[in-house]
Amino acid sequence: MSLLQIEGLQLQFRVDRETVYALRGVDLSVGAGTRTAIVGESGSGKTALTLSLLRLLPPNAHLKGSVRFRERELLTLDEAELRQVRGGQIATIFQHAQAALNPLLPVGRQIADVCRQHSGVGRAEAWERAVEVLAATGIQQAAARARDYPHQYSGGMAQRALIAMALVCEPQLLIADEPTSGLDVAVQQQVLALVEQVVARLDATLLLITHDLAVVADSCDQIIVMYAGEVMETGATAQVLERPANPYTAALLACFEQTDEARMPFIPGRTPDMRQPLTGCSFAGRCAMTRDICHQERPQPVEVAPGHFSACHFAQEVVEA
Amino acid sequence: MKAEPAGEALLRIEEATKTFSLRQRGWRRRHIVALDGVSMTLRRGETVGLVGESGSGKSTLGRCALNLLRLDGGRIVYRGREIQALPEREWRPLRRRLQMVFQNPVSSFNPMMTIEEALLDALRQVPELDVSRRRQRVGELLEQVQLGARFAVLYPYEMSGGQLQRAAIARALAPEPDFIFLDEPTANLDMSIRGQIINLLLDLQRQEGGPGFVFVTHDLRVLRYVADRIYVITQGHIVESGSRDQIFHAPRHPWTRALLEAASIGRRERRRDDGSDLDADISLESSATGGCRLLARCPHARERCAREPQLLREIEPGQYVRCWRAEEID
Repeated sequence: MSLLQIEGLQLQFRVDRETVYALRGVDLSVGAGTRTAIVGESGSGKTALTLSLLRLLPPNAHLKGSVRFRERELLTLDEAELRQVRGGQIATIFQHAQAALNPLLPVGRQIADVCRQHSGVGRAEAWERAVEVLAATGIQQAAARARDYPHQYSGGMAQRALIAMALVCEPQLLIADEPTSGLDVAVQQQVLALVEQVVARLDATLLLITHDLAVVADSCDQIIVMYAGEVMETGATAQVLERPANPYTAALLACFEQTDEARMPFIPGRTPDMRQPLTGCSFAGRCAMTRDICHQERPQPVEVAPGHFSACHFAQEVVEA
Repeated sequence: MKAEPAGEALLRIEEATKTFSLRQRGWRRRHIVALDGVSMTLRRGETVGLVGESGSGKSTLGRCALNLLRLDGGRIVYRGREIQALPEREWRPLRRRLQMVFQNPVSSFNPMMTIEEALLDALRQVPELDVSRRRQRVGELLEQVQLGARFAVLYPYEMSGGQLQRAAIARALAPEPDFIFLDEPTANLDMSIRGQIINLLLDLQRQEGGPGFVFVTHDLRVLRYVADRIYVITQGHIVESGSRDQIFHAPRHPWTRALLEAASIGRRERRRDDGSDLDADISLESSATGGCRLLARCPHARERCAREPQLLREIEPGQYVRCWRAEEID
């Protein structure tokens, strides 16, 4: 059963009389209980997508399409209803934990506030809950550290505090947007392991946003690959990483390979101009397999194996290559 | 590929130490040891990788080597002269020989200047060129970084991050340096275009009489292609150094191994978050515990690690490791 169902999602920003096409019609579904990664490079729309789900968008944004969470349409909810969903049923761990915390309030107070907002418990009880979840995320002497301010936390601890904040309302869907960026490698692994633990304990669904395929391979069972505001490929992690069916995924994977080749692989060209609507495939300008049809017609997702979809006119050829 | 070490030692960093002192509440001060006795030798024309996580001291080392930051202890000897002791008058003519490329290409260019103007500005450091020769040189430099002369008239906002980073390398090449320090030159670029910069460096390495490079990064992956030698730094200490092959094929320090594991797809050994090392964020404060600084996060730690400070020792010809257990762990 799918927990989150997105159909035809389009996001545009009006900037100085120009339109920036951030999402160009995204269809995807996230199954309940899965750990799904959204992988993409800068400008692919992965963060735009998560912000759209919760409608955390600036006034110049224009959002169309449908986002259903547990069969309930999110895009038509009013502010009050939406507030119950945000942080309550859907919690988000943003990148740059230090920046996501309020520097003027003790960390415990910020977690307690979230708790009171969503579960309606009293001040004292909310504080106790805050200390409890901080301890659960591995912060030593949580009762004392809860009274500390964000600047007294290291990067890894701040990320733990943010995970604690997400944990306190026992959400059904946890969105982690680049939770490890800016952390050193050993701490990265701890934070990822902690996110997995939390998701398992809550029996929640994880949506992990990342640009790093190395992270995905270990942490997720489903992958959604995005490029220039479109979904290029979806499938089980093993399918996508071992038998990519989209030339973009294949080229990106090659950039991550550790080889003893003399030169480092890269994808020539640059991402399409986001200010222009697209007629053909968004990757056509950089793809080694491009033919006429790629510039003329936008490819629709093709199922190359059960549960494995690729938006490419030649998906079958790519997967067999 | 250059197997044998390149030419003479041009720049030597000897026992460099640097401590930053931060004032906290009232009169209390917190001392952060950014460099703690770091030594390094850069030979003519070679490419040295310096890898470490944020806060490891790698950028501080780069800044000190360029004389942008004063050391507290130790020396930096460039062409036989201790540069940090030179009066400004004598340092200035040397300065152009040590260039830098920064992490963020967008913020390292003046948005009001075209690429040509930015390069001409850098070429003013070359007194032997007259004005018309400088214009010609701009075209040559842009060719050299595989951009082409048509980029000369563009402003930074008209270029992609990868193109702009190549322009930044052209600007660093302009004053004919001995060394270019590249501080995370690919960190702001997407994985799919990092190869452009790396392959450009490979091409520049092949040119006769070209500069050497110091490539500062937290990502070991990119060094696999370009580095002749690699230094691994953490907490202001070099923990391992050696040739590229030694570091990639026979890493001996647990920290180097962790860095390599983290960078590979699917081959990572999962270390469970069992609560034992949860609070192991590195503390840079100068506590005098005396033992190995990676104690709290090392899966191979023994009781002896807590007692003895670790010294850098040669384990194979040219490979140095700061761990007494380096031979046993495999």
